Amino acid sequence: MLYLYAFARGLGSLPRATGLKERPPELVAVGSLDAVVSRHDRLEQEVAADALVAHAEVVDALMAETDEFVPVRFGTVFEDETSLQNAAAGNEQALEQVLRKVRGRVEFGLHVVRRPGAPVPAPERSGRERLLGKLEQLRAAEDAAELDEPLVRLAVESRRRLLRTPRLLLSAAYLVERPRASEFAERLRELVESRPERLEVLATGPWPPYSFAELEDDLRAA
Amino acid sequence: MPRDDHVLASSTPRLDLFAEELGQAATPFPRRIEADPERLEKGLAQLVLTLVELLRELMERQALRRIDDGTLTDEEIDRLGETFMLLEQRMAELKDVFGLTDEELNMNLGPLGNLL
Repeated sequence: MLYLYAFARGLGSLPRATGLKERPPELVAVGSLDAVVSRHDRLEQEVAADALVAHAEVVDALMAETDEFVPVRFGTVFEDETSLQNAAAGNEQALEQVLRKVRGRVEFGLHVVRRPGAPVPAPERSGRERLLGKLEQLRAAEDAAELDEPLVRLAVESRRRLLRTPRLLLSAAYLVERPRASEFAERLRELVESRPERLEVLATGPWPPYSFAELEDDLRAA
Repeated sequence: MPRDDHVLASSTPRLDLFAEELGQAATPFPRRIEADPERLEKGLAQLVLTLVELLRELMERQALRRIDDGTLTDEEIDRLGETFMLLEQRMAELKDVFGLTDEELNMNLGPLGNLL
């Protein structure tokens, strides 16, 4: 079986990382791209922490080698080379499109949660209180979303999701040109410093542009 | 789940606060409508309940907007609150009957993001 980490182009050398289950990453040419894969006799379905880390290490190493690659989400497996080739061929255009979008760009993340102790609406109350509780949450999330307006303007593209859980007011991902990455990181640090008291803010990155390289569904369907 | 070496800045040393919420929000697998003919009934229920859930969410958002604008009377807010709560309970019962989870009612619309 082939475990897929990413597609890349013009890769001089292989990513220097251990690989899933310590199987070294290798390249398989698919059309005008290289697939970065490791070979396995069998793979479990379960998501194990060390497997996630191994995946991330390979893709991080790739990010250090090239700025022309499409990271693939954890857990994309092919029966053999033929099924990988078929999937890649069937998604050639989509892959090119994603590559054009993420080339030379990195991702940053921002998460805003309510501080512990801040009230979160309890589910079992009167309908009226429940509705008003939701309204309060929505307002808090919209306030949180305003925090990152300056970041959205600096980014090439951004994704924001409000209230993924009652406490997680905002989750955002930003696609940023590599030359602007340090400026962007600086803005994120400022935002974390100046956040409103009732909120906690986590800034992450630079990441491989996972959130902007959505292909997984198509690859599996092919 | 952010690995420590990717943390750029945090307003608190307690990263577990974020990890917990992100863990709950994680949706690692793509959501699709079940199209297996042997499980047609569940697939249909999934489709119908997804649409009902979408409408419920939209109506609730609309109600929240109107409360926010101050265009609803107290009595109307009471009544709407009651209605939405009953609707949510009924949906929970239906989801139970068909063995569907919230995740299964939240379709991935590709570039448009998630439905709910």
